[in-house]
Parts: sequence; C-alpha cells; structure tokens
Amino acid sequence: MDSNLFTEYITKYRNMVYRVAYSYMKVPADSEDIMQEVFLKLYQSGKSFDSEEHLKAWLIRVTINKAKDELKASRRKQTELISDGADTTYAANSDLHEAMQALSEDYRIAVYLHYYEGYGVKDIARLLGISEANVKTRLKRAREKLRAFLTDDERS
Amino acid sequence: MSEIKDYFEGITTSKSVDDIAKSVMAAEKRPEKSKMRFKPLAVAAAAAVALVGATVGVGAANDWDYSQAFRALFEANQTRTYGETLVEPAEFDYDGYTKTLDMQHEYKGHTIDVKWIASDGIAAVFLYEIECDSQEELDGLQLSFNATVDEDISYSHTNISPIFDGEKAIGSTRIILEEDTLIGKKVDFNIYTPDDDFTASVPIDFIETAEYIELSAGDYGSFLDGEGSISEVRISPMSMMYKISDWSHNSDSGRYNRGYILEDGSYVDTWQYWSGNQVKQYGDEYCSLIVFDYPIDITKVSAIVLGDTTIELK
Repeated sequence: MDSNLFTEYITKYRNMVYRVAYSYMKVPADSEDIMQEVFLKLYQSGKSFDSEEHLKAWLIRVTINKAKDELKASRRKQTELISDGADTTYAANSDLHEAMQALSEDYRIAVYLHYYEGYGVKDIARLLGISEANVKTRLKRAREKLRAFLTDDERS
Repeated sequence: MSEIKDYFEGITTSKSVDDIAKSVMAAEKRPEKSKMRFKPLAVAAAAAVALVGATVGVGAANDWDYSQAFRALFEANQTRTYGETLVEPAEFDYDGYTKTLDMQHEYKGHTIDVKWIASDGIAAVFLYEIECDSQEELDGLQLSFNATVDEDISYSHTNISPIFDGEKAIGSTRIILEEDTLIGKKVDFNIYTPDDDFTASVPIDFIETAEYIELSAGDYGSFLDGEGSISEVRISPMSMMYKISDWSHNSDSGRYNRGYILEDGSYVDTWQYWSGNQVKQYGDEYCSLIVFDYPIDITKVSAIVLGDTTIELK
C-alpha cells in the first residue's frame, strides 16, 4: 500500500478503530494493540476500496473480529481485563463513563455505532452479523440500562 | 443522547499517526511465521471435541496456518477460464473465517483428517486430508457428506473423491442454507466412507459477520421466457442462492445463464465452476443453492445474470 495513503488512513481512522476496540477491551493498552493489528492487516492486505464507506466498514469489521478474538483468548487464559484507570478524558462525565463501562461489549458497540458513527439499524446489523431486530433490542436495552444506572446513581 | 456522543468523542488514542505507522512497519518486518500465526486453536478444538461422536479423535492443535490451506484449495485452479472471462480468485479476508477441527477417523489404514472449517457466514466448507502415497490408494474411496444445521437439513454434498496432490489427498465438502446465516448455529455432519461413517458437531462461533448482498423485494423478472419468476437472490463470497417460481428448466440438457457481471463489464459464468447445486422446493417456490469453487469479491459484482434476466446490484 502506498505509504502516503496509508498515513492518510491512519490519520483519519485511528480514533475510530481505537474506539471500536475500546468498546470491547475497555483497556487503553489492549485497544492500542488491536489498533496496531488492524492497521497492519490493512497495510498487508493491499486491498482497494470502492469508497470511504467501504473502507470504514472494513476497518470496523476487522477491529470487531480482532477484539473478540482477543477477548476470547483472554477469557480462556482466565486473565481479567482490569481498567488501568489511566483514562482521564472522562472526568467531565465519570458517571456516564461508569455506566458505559457497565454495559456488555455487545451493547456498547451497538451504542457506539448508532449514536457516534451514525449508522442505522440495517447497517449495524450487517456490521455485527446479527438481525435488525437484534440490533433494535440491543439499543433499547442499552438505553434502559444506561438510564437505570444513571438514575440509581443520582439517587444514591 | 449528545452526552453519549461526547463520551465517545473523549475516547482517543494516545498514539500519534507516526507512532502507529512505525509500529506497523516494525510488525511488518517480523518473521512471517509469528506474524501470520493463527489465533488460539487449542480451546477451539477442545470445544468441538466435547460434541463429537465416539468415532472421532482429536489431533493436537498446531501452528499451521489454515488460511494458507484454504487459499491452496481454492486457488489451485486459478488459471481456469470460466465462460468469457479469466477469473482471478478474489483476495478474501480469511482472518476470522476459519476454525481448526482436527477430527480424525481411521479407515482401512488411512487417516481421514477433517482439518478445519471455513465460512463466510452464509456457506461453509470443510477441508479434509487423507494421508496416502498415490491416487491409486484412494481408488474406490468415495465419501458422502450430510449436514444438518440446528437440526434442519441443509446442503448435502455427495460422492466426493479426494484428490492426490503429490503428498496427500485433499478434499472438501460444503454446506449452505437457503436463508438466514450460519452464524451462531451448530452444524452436525456425517462423512460416509464405503463401509462406515463418522460424525461430528461444529458450532459456527468463530465468525461474527456475514458478508452478502441480498435482493428480496419480489419479482425480478422471468428466469427463462415465460418461465419461473425470480423472487429472491443472494450472493456471498462463497455462494449464490436464488428462488424462482418454476423449475421446469432444471435439466442438464438445457444450458442457461447463471453468473454475474463484474464492474468492468465482464461476465463470469458460474455454470462451470460451481461446486455443487441443490434445488429445494417450498410449496410453489424453488430455491437453488450454489457453493462456488473459491470465494469471490462481491464488492466487484455489479449485476447477477439468471437465465434471461440481468439484475443490477449497483
């Protein structure tokens, strides 16, 4: 892959890849490892993409696959992923951070793709390989869980 | 929900573009073996073991790169000409699409080793090897394959003759469903030798995303003039499916189009390179299921040609 183009892709998508990885890993260092693997794969693949959307969807899919593989491996090794507490960027809304961290990976990635990346239910279904009904359910339950978590937090 | 957007906005990597580029280049220079090593195999194999029948043994997980075998299997005939077009196998993202099995069955001094499964979420291929020294040793050995997915009968690939490749015999067998995906489902399969059989069960838990293009909005035209209306089409990297209202043209004596058009306008006729076709009847409708010899890049397919009808995808 042309190095200028590759650098352009990193510039444009590094935070997106990182966020997708972080949605699963919840640990900055592990998320950055995944990010490196994803860009390595992009570099080695020599793939050409029809559009930015195609590239973006490919990066999201590969990141999800790699993050899930890594989680499975970690769980098999029975090593717990513990947040290192190094994230200071969430100080502005630590309650929300805590609520998001309390969601399962499946819910968190659906929330990210919908509310941040702006993907519709149909696109999320294709990206995650699940039915549209399943996406709707995940988004609904994620909203409920976030609401419940934040409400409880306010009361306590 | 703007807070949620703000929350994600705050998640940023501490790595600079330069850091990432350098780390990728450093990883790129590492030896191929360690770089391409397949992700943990041992537990995947063990999970399959728990479900397999008594006649199936399990080999040790190893570092062998199964994606390379998949490429070897599907790319062996890459210079074949199909219809009007010389087709190059697509670059296919195998990472995450395969799972090691290493299920072994002894048959007349030969070990039939079902090594792994690959799937794009729609279709699946099982690859097996048989240790042998020549094609002659395999004469008369025809294997039949039956599969069920979540207890529904799926594609059955029968009368498979393994092919000697100079060191061992390689064979493959395929499954496909008429609808839905294989993701999250369990494939039970039997492979029958002339004298016995062995069984196994494999959960499709190694793949997360099915990649396919589907048209299911109704009438896309007649298959042949005045015959069989096409109601549904689906193409995935490894398979094609279409539903029509009449199957009277289902005769080997009849030659009809069944292929796709690439972005550059060339037509690829799948007639000569499908790995098998199964027709299923559902009431008044018929469903044709085809598994390709090797994966194709569906992003480059601009139209599907079925009989007399061309269905534009883009």
